[in-house]
Parts: sequence; structure tokens; C-alpha cells
Amino acid sequence: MQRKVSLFAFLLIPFLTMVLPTSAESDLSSSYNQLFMLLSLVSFAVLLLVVVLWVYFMYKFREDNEEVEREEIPHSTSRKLEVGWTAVAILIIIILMALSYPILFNETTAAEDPSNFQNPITIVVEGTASWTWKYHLPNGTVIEPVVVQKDAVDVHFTNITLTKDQAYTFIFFNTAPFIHSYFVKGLNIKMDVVPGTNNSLTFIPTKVGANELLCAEFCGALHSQMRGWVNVEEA
Amino acid sequence: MDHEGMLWKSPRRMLGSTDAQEIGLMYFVLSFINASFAGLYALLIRFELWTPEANYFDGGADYGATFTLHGTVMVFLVIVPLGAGMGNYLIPRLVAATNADMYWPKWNNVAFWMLPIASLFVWMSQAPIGWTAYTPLSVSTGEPGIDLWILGLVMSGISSTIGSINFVLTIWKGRDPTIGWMDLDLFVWGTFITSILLILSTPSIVIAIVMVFFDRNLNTAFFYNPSAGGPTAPIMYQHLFWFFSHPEVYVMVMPAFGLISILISKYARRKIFGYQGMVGAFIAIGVLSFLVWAHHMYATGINPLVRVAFTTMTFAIAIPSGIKVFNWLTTLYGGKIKFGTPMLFALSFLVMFTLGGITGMYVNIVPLDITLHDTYWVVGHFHFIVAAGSLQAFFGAIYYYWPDMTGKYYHDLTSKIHFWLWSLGNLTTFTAFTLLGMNGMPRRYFTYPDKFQGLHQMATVGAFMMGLSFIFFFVSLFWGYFKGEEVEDYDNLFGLGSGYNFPPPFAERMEEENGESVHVEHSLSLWAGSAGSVLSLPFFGFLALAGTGFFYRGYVKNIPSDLPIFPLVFMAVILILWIGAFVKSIGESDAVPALFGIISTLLAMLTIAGVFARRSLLGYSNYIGLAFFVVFLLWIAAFFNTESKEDKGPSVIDQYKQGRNWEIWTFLASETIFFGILIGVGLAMRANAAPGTWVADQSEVLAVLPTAGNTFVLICSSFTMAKAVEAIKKGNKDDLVKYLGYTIIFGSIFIGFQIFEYINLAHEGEVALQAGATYPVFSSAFYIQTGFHGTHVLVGIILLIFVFLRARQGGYDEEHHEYVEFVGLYWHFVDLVWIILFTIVYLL
Repeated sequence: MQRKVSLFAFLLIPFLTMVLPTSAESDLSSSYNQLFMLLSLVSFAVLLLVVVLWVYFMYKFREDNEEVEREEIPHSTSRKLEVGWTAVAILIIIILMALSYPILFNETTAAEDPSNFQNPITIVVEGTASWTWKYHLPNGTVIEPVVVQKDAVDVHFTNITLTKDQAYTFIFFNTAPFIHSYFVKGLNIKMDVVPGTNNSLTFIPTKVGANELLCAEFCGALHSQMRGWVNVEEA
Repeated sequence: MDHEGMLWKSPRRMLGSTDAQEIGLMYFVLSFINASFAGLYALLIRFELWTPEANYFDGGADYGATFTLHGTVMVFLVIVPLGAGMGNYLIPRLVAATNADMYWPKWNNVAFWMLPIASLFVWMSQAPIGWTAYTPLSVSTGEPGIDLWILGLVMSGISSTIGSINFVLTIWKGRDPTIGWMDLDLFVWGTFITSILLILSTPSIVIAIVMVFFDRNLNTAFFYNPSAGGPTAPIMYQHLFWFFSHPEVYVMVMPAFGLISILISKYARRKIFGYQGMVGAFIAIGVLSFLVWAHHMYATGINPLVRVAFTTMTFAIAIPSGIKVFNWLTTLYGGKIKFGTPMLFALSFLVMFTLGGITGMYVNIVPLDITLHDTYWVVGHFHFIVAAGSLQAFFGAIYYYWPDMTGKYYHDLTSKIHFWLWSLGNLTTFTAFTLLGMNGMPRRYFTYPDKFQGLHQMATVGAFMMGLSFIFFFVSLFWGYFKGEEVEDYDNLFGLGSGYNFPPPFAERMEEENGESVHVEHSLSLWAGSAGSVLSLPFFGFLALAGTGFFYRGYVKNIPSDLPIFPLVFMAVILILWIGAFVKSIGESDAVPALFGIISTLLAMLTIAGVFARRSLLGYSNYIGLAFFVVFLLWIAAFFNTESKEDKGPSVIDQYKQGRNWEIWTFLASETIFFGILIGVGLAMRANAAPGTWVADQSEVLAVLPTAGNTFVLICSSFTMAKAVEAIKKGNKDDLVKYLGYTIIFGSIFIGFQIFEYINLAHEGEVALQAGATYPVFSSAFYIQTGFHGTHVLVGIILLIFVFLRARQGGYDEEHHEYVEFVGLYWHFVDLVWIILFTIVYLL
């Protein structure tokens, strides 16, 4: 009984540390990329294992093969196998949880340590009923969309320029009778823009460049045509 | 099989069959017809996306129906019916069912015949809102087809609930008593868990889309209502939708798991490795599937703690799935593998499913989901699982069981071409999807940034390979059927040295062991077949009413003014079947249902022509919808009239089973979830209602005290119902009749009062649905909860009347009165729900 309690505590404490927000590095996109790479490594290893065994068994135990010994797997071995791979699977899952939970909370603050945010500039981002984006800047200016005709299809671009290493808070606003989603892959941002709710996001862009904005929640006829550029420049 | 070939030549047999194997075949045909059209729609999508320009469609609005219908049809009208069809085809034999059929053979027929009409509704809808139909888009989009889409899916939901109850009862109570749970084939386990999932989850989506229908047509304010301030609770829809749709994806894959186990063990000549682990994995997946739904909602802005909970549960569900893959692999060890076409599909499944599972892991990790949600990554993930996974398992199984279905072998070379084209197409397209998603290409796009073009073209090439492979599939099967090699030795199929190895049929075993002769008859029932058609009448009624602007507020716009040819041709085919059945039934009691079949099909065709072509039906367009309900009630009356006259001896089921209340308990499980969700929705709406849209004190707007009196009336009806059951258990037939009569009277008083209350409330305008009503959100919750409850009471009264009439004729006695108990349990359930509803809606 005592052993069970202490084992539980042993596992619980790291689990709790995992799920509570931590203060760590400032740029989230490198954490995201690392996580993606790590998961890819793990996945590749699993896939490789499956495919290798698959090919090997298909070859070795094909019906033409007379030489191979076709023995039954003894009960004790089969039990060990089943427990074994279940335990390995659980372990992999725990590792993935440990690596991903600390940054899980930061979806609304697209950086790991919110206390890094000093004086964020607040911009209201509107998803409109005419399938365009609009930015309402703090000084009262509204950035309007520009229509570009691409290959007989009209695309609405709304472009904004942000300053590198400056914190921004985007508050999302939608009066359309459908949901939009603000998706800028280059900045690791995606947030649904839901009518009646004001989701928000705080982040610091750390790399200079142009990032494409795409709508990522099906909103009707011009869903694929409401886009823009989020350009990040030096201060 | 005794009647091969005859099925397709006999309309009477097709419409009235109660034989599970025949019904299974009909499910396959329907599924493959739907799959062919849905597949064509997929090719249209891929053709359009060859370049970012408009290649076929005029724009996004035009394009919306392609992916909506491709998804909706593949999920609801192809994969799930294939599972049901395979279940029908195999399970009665795999469990050596005591009546050599499904537990309820006639309901089996009813469940099937609802699906062609459901398919028709969905195809006619051309709904452009995505198969997920998120609100407020689905509420505010004017296309009238969306109402059709909703009605079609409700029909298919009812069909699959009936079918699932049937499977649960067959496996649990209908099997040979000497077969234990842990002796069952894994396909039986898969279908069993699948059926439980469907029973418990379907109410959620039915409620969600019915609420959308009401928002569109009845001015309710569940998700979006301009006169109530716009959006009310759009995210609530997503919770309700995914509470069903997540278990639904396991519904799509678990029967396939079972089939893969069959194919791998047959073709490797080995028993499945780790049977207990496989069963445990099925159960774990079944339970966990209800706990992960919000992993589809990580980007909506829900509470981070909620995201942690769902991420954890989703990680957990990965484990049993992974275990299954390792068990299948280990089954190959020590085997003597023959690479027949079914085995090729099964082996390919292992890798494709692993790829699908791996891609799923990424999107479970919230930080990664930010980049991958609603991109082609997800599309790649689910196509690997459902198309390269489930559908492959069904291909393999149909090839494997083709000798059983037809007595012939399929054509081997074309089947191998099918396999290779299909698999290469899968890998090409779904890998392209995954890479597109990784690079940030969003879903449901009509045009796209140029950089994605290469991968889109790769996906299109693969799609056409898959489309082509389908042709080889059909060629292989039909060539086999017409000209193929006949099966010589059923104990050495495909040279495997074994046959299908179904357990000895119950009747055979009883004959051998006990000398008992169990006679089972698969009688035709056109009443069952007509039930499937007639049950669609209320849906046509709703369509007619919505389409002609009868409801408060219709989003009826843009109805095409030309006659829809395909739907009319389809209905004409069904009409011909009914006419054929009628002609063969003249002189028998079967003629009456056949006549109803003809009438309902004709009415349906009139509605389609009338609503869609805007042709005023004799100037009474607004009332044509009500006519449907009248015909429906007439059918019920005719059915009960016939049934009560039939002399029913004890059925096979009666001989071997005592105390059949589990049948109604299984049905009530679904009803419990249904009302549980309605109550939950009411509470959620109250918690989230914007100020002014929910009443502060119900006693100001509702007649609480009189309704309390009405509640007492209903409780009295439960008391008299209990007395009725008590009476017949003692053999007292007169008291049974008396107490049933009282119950009907009390129930009718209850309903009468409710109707009076509704009229009053509409008049007063506070708890009402017309524009300008004071409390739109409260009213919506009030009417949906009391309205659905009231409908259940009405149905209960109709059932009670039937039981009452039968009781008057002396149809029940001390030993046989199951239907009295069934109705009693249903009635008590409905009363209990009312007590809870009354407390929450009127008092708290």
C-alpha cells in the first residue's frame, strides 16, 4: 500500500509540473518545431518497426517457405509480449505528454512566458461578412482589404506590417453569421474568430519576413479568398 | 444460400425480405451505389483543384456541395451501411442465432428501407456547408437543401439506431446459449461495441441538426437568430456534433477491425494472437471514444484545462489501437501466408492504419494542432484511416465472402489490379494531403496559393487511380458472378484448406443433441417494407412545409425552378418495385401495405416536383405537408388493425427466452441519452444566455401551478399503468383493459393540457417563437424540451391504444403479455423524464 502511494506521488509530481505553465524560452515557434521533429522521430521509429516486421513476417512465413519452423508462441512469451508493448506504448505517450503539456497553455499567448510581454500593442482583427479581414489599429486607422484578381478568381488581401520583437495582442471580432479562423502558419498562430465571442492572442514575432494569412474555418462562398500578408520588419 | 438470383428479380422479395443475408446484400448494393456517386464527387473536387483557377465550378459557392456531399455520403451512407450490411450478412451465422436470423427480422427490413430515401434526401440537398455543418453558417445559409440534408441524416440516424439495437439483442440474447462471450469471433465483438456506440451517441447529432432545422425554420435561438441579437451559442453545436461524431469514427473503423482479424487469421492459417487483448482493446476504445470529442475543437478558444483533459484522453485511446496493430502483426508469425486478394487488402490495412494513427497523434498535441488543424493534414489523417483503412477491409471481406454470396470465385487478375491501383492511389493522394497540410494548406478551399499546386496535382493523379481501380473491383466481382469458376469445395476455399467455419447452426445442434426440431421460417413482410417508406412521410411533410414557407421563418431562397430529374427517376424505380410487389400480392393481406408503399412513393414524387419546381400543388401548397402526416397515421391504423387480427402463436424467440424486457431497456438507453442531452442543452443555454433572453423567474411567464397539477395527472397514469401490468401478471384480463383505459385517459388529459398551454403561451408572446417574442432563448429551450417530451407521450398513447384494443380481444394472458410490459416500461420512462423536466424547466 505504501509502495503504491509513493509510486503515485512519484508520478503525480512530474505530471503536475508538466501541466502548469512554465517560464522558459521566449520564442514558441522553435519549441513547436522541436516538438514536431521529435514526434516525427518517434513516429518514424514506430513506423519503421511495423514495416520491418511486416515485410519480414510476410517473407519468412509465406506459404512457399518450407524450411521455416512454424511454432506456436508459448503462453508465457505471448503474455510478456503483450504487457511489454503496452508498457512501451504507455511510456511513449507519457514522454509526448511531458514534452507537449508545458507549452499547451500558450495557445492564447503564442509565446511561452507571458511575463515577457511588455506593453503589447492591441489590434482588433475583424473577420467580416463579406469574407475579408480588417485590422482596427489603436490610433483609429482601419486597414482595409485589397482585391487582387488572380486567374479569374478575386482574392481579398489585407496586409499588415508588424515590428520585430514587439508584443502584439490581437482581439478577434466577428459580426458575420459564420465562423472564421485567423491562421498565420509562419507565426504559429491559429484562432477561431467566433461571432459573439472575442478570442484573443498575444505574441511576439521574432523573425523578419512575410507570412501568409489564410482563413482556416469554412465560412462559405469566399472562404479560400480571404487572405493577407503579415509582414514583420525590423524596428 | 437457397435463393441466390431470385432476390433481384422479385420486387416483393426485395421490399419484404426479413432474411438477414438478403438484407445484407441490399445494404452492399446501396452502399456501392452511394460510393460511386460520392467517389465521382471526389474526382470533381480533385479535377477542380488541379490548378488554382476555376476549372469546373464558377466559384466557391458552387463548389461547396462537392466536399459536403462527398463527406456526408461516404460517412453516413457508405461506410456505416457497409458495416451494417456485413453485420447482417455474417453475424446471425457467427453467433448461431436461435432463430437463424437477426433478433428482430422485421425491424431489420424497416431499418434498411429507410436508407434509400435518406440517401435521396442527402443527394437532393446539394448542401454547401461541409459535412460538419457548423453553426452559424448552417443556420444562416439560405440554400433550402440544407433542410433536406438535415432530414436525410435524421432518417439515417433512426435507421442506424434500430439496426444497432437489433445487433445488440442478436449478439447478447439471440445467440446459441452454448457460445460464450469469449468464444465469439472478433467481428462480432467489433459490431457489438459499434452498436452500443451508435445507440448512445446518435441522439446527440440528431438533436444538434434538429436544432439547426428549428433555427432555420421556426425562429428559435439555439445557435443563431438575428432577432435575438445574432449568435447565441455557436460553439454548443460543435460540442453536440462531435459528441456523436467522434464515436462515429470508431463506428466506421471497428467492424473493419473485426474483418481484418478474420482475413489475417484465415490467410495466415493462424488463430488471432492475443484474443483477450483484442477484446479488451475494443472495449477500451468504445469507452474512451466518448471522452475525447473536444479534440476537434482545440482552436476554438476553449479553456486550456479542458484541452489538457481531452489531450490526455486522446493519448489514452491511441494505446488500444496500437495494441491491435501489434497483435495482427504477431498473428503472422509462424503462419503459412497465402497472398490472396483479401489478404493483400488486410496486409495493406496494417500499414495504412498505422500511418493514419501516426498522423492523428500530431494533431492531438495542441501546439502542433495550431498549425495542422483544419488543414489537409487532417484530411490525410482520416483518409488513411477510413479510405485506406476501413474501405479496404470491406473490399477484402467482399472478395472473401463472394463465394458465399454467389457460389462463384471473383476474377483473380482484375482483383489484383484493383488492389495495386487502389493502394498506389491511396499512398499518392493521402501522402500528398499530409504534406499539403504540413505546409499549411487549409481545407475546403476552392482556390489556393500557387505554391501548393504541385502537391495538389499529385493528389489528383492518385485520386483518378483510385477511381479507375473501382472499375476493376466491379469487373472482378461481376465477371466472377456471371462467368467465374464455381466453388467446388466449401471446406477448401481459395486453397486455404478451410472453409468459412461458421459455428454449427442452432437448429442443427438442437436436432443432433436433443432430437428437438426447431423450425425457422423467413417469412416476407411487406408491412415492414412499407414501414420503411411510410416512415419517410413525416420527413417529406416537413420538407413540403419548409419548402412552401409554412413555418415562421424559412431561409427559402434560390430554389431551382427546373424539375429535378435524377431524384424523380430514383423514386420512379422504387415506385416500380412497389407496383410489382402489389401486383404479386393481390388477394393477400400483403396488398394493403403494398398500396401504402405506392401511395407514399407517389406523394414523395409530388413533393419533390412541387417544392423543387415551385409548382403550386392544387393551390394548397401550405397544407400538402400536413397531408403526409395524415397518410402516416392512416398507415399506423391499418397496420395495427391487421396485426391485431393475426393469430400469433409463440414465436421461436418466445420458446427459448423468458422475460424479454431487455429489448425495451436497450431502446431506453438511447432515449436516456436523448433526454439527458436535451436537459443538458437547456442548462447550457440558461448558463450562456445573453441578458434579457432568458426569463428570471419562470412563474411570471409559465403556469407553474396548473402544470404541477398536470404532472400529478401523469403520475396517476403511471400508477394505473403499473396496476394494468400487475393485473395481467395475475391473469386478470378485465382489470388489464380497465387500467389501460384509465392510463390512456390520463395521458390524453396531459397532452390536451399541454396543447392548451402552448396556444396560450403563443398568444401571450413572452414564451413564444414568433419575431418579437420576449425571451427567445428561454422559449427555444422550453419548446424543444417539452415538445419532444410531448411527442413521446403522443407516441406512447398510440401504442397504448393498440395494446388496449388487443387486450379487449383477449390477446394477452398470464404467460404472454410482453407488449404490455414493454409499453409499461416506456410509459414509466416518459413519466420519469417529465418529473425531471418539470422540476428543471418550471421550478428551478
